[in-house]
Amino acid sequence: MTAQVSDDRRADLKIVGNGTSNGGIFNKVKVVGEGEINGDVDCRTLNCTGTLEVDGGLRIEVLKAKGTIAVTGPMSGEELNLTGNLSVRSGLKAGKARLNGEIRIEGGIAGEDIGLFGSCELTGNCQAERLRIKGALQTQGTINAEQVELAMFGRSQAGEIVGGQIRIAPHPTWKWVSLFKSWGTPELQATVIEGDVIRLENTVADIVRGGDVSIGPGCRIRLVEYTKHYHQDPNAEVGEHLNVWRNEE
Amino acid sequence: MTEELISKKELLDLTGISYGQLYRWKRKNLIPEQWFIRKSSFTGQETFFPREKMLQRIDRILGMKDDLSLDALADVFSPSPGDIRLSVGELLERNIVTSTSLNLYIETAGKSEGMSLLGFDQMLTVYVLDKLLQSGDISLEEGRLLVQTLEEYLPGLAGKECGVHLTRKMGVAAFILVPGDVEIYMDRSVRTVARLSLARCTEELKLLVSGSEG
Repeated sequence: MTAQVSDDRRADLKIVGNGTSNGGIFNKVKVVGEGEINGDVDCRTLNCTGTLEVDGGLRIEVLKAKGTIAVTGPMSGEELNLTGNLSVRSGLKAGKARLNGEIRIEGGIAGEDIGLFGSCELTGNCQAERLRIKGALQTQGTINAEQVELAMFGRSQAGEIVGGQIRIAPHPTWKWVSLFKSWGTPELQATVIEGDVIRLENTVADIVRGGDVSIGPGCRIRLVEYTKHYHQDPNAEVGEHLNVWRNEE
Repeated sequence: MTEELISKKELLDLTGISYGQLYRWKRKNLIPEQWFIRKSSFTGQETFFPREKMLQRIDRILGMKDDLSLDALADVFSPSPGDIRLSVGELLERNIVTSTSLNLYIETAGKSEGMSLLGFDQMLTVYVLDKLLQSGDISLEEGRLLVQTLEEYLPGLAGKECGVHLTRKMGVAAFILVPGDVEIYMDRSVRTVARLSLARCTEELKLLVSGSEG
């Protein structure tokens, strides 16, 4: 309650053209042009058109950005919208995020509803209730989400993908847009994929385990273990598929 | 002594939960990351869990998930202290601890009756003391020692798993706090009289405190 009082005294920060700030607690932060902030920033809204570099942590409630944002510390926010470049060095926490463009996150992602559209390079683990990726994904870590949707343009790589429902396929428009063909066949390489419902296309994996598993065209899987249903496309290669442990509830 | 492990496959088979549930609970921190032990096996990499802890935890989650939300459950299992405060009277009234242990605590820690609200750390100390006293493992004198030890180090251990060991050698008692609750090895004449996990106690205490409220 006391925070509320001091909240009302938060000032705004505006950087137009070329500017530097030492950070702090703000109400609104607006950057048009090139901004550089040396220190932690905590603000309600951040509007950025252009480039913003933060040497420190960034905490926002609502972010709207077009351009480049680079954060060396951790970044967190309730609602994040960005088109352009985002680079975070010490982890990203978000309620709802729509990030378009080139996304590079080190230190993992934790969030509720995360949408990444473009090329994403992640280190660390990614946790979300809903994770949608359109584009190419590069990570060695684990992706854990209730719903994972990966619509690929270009080659993707992941360590483990686990969760409730997992759908991996080339983006539907990929076949029709010749521009993307130069990026190579969209294909995911993963070590382990585990979930209740799994739908895979163009996926190369060592082990796939799940309840209801469907292996679509273009997949190469060494071992599939399933409990309920199994479907395999004629254009998929599966080394071995086993129906393990019938534990009907 | 190494812990007995259970493979993920066996666990799911035994408990009847699905991959989705397992990973949902992991995301909500109902199952700590450290319990996911990766080992290579003949089928590639497999994940194992500490058998006893895991089966017990899943059993409790399954038992409570209909009454509590996942977030409330996460709170119960989280080793970090809650922000609950209770008065001395309430602690006694709700049979959370006995008056013997409470009196011993007040006497040792030098809390005056006036400021009778106990924070979580303090409640935890009394709870651990009460547990050990009731089991007959320690004497009142050793109880004092325990209170002093916990009072001194508990704040620094907040939110971490920690084991409490009571050892005796030639009749002399010593309390050892073991962060991470790992195994410790001592010479043969040392006898471990009692061993408790602070995380487990935290969990039990939280359930007691919130359970009798509703």
